[in-house]
Amino acid sequence: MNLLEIKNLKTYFYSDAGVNKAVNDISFEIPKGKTVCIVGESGSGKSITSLSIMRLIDPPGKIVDGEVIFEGTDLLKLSDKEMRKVRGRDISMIFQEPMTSLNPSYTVGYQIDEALRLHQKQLNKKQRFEKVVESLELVGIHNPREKYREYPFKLSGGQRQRVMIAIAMACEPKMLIADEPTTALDVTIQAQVLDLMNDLQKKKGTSILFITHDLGVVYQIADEVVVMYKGHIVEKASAKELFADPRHPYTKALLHSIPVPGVTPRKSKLDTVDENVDYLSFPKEIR
Amino acid sequence: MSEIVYEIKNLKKHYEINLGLFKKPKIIKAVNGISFNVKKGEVLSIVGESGCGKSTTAKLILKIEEPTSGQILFEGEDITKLQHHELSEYRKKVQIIFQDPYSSLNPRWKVGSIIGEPLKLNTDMSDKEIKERVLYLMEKVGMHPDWFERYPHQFSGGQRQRIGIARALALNPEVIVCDEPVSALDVSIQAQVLNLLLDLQEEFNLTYIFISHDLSVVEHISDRIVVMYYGDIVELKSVEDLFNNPEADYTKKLLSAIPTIKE
Repeated sequence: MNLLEIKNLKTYFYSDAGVNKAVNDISFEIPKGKTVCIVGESGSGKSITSLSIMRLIDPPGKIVDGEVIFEGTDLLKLSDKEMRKVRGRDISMIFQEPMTSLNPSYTVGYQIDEALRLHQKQLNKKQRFEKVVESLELVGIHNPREKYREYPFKLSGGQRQRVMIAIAMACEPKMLIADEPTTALDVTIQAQVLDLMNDLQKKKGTSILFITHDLGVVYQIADEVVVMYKGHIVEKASAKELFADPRHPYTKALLHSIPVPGVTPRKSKLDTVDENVDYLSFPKEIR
Repeated sequence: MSEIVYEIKNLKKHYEINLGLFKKPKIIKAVNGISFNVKKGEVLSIVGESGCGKSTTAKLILKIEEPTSGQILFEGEDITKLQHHELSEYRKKVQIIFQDPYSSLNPRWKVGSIIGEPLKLNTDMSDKEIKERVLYLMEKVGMHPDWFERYPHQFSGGQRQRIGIARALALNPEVIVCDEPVSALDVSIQAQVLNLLLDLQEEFNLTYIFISHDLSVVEHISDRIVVMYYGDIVELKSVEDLFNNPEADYTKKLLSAIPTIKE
């Protein structure tokens, strides 16, 4: 069962210099309860894809064509008011920078509560408080009742990212979009956050769209992988297939460019993605 | 046994934080009595998470910060006591490559001036000689000579990092401190920069002190690894030893954080 289907999505950016086809006719699906990773370098269109799903593209950008079908409805056809109800309630998003995406002048609890105030109007103040405490507990924050009243500056990077996840998960969305959520974190903290996301998925059955340029992270969290290059999908496969048998030359180059401890000979020349090769000229490998 | 470039003995750097007029200042022990050697021609990596003191150690070695106590012997001479002329001589021999190629290059300067600046400040070379040297360096790091007149904003992250590397090489240093030189770059570009660093090391017989939190990169490039945790060294070993049989709990934790496939 697919929760989300993206069909022939095109998002272009218009400027005096011409049209930049940031996302150029891509299609993929996100199954229920699974994690799909989009990998690619900066400028490949992976973040624009996620922003297009949330309809957060501002001019000069525009979603030109395509469908984003979430449980049978095309999100691109909803009114702004209807779309606002989808965001946060059905689909939530976590951003890369936990240091800057929290508001420094409100307490942690207030910011998690905000999502509930907007989307779960049937709850009273006390019920909401309990729910916030519960979601802080869920993301592994100790003393949630005390942390409710803390301001973001008192928390470490890992804790802030947990708070971001708590905000995103507060309304128990069906889908979570995570745009490089661990890039700014230390390796040990990154491992904890990834474990947490895997756990939450098991408990709540949330589908996750995970955007990253770090293949190690993909290895750890993905069920399905979509490889993007210059606005196109060049390869799509299950994580196991992709790592065992990468088929597209670009995927191969990307995989071989990271040293793997114990496999890549130490101090050997690493393969690189060749800037002079047009990887789009190879056939797409969609499995 | 190979020659020792650095001998670091019981190095400490404590920062005092004043909490108020009548309160005792709080002391942050960023580096708390560490000792290690750096051998000529090796790549010594310092790993650990943010706040472990790895960058402070680099700053102390570069003499950007003064240590609270302890010694840093560079070729037998204690650099913590160097002054004026001796200090500038020392700085010619030790250079740095920064993490962020976006903020470490002056956006108003052309590539040629950026790479040539160390030469202008530290040598008596004429403008013509400097230009020749800069063009030679640009070739070494794989940049086109036509790019001499360009500005940093015209380049991608990987190309900018090459500019930073060329600048670090300008004075023929013996040691280069690389402070997370690839962590701000895309994976595909990381590989290019790592290849370049290894090539240059061989060609110019450089010693690298490589600071990173990325264990796969560290495993690939290093000869020996120092693992730091809260200002202390918890383990110092050759790469093979560290990866094959880590002893300290923290090292084990770090190694287990290397991603493995989802079940």
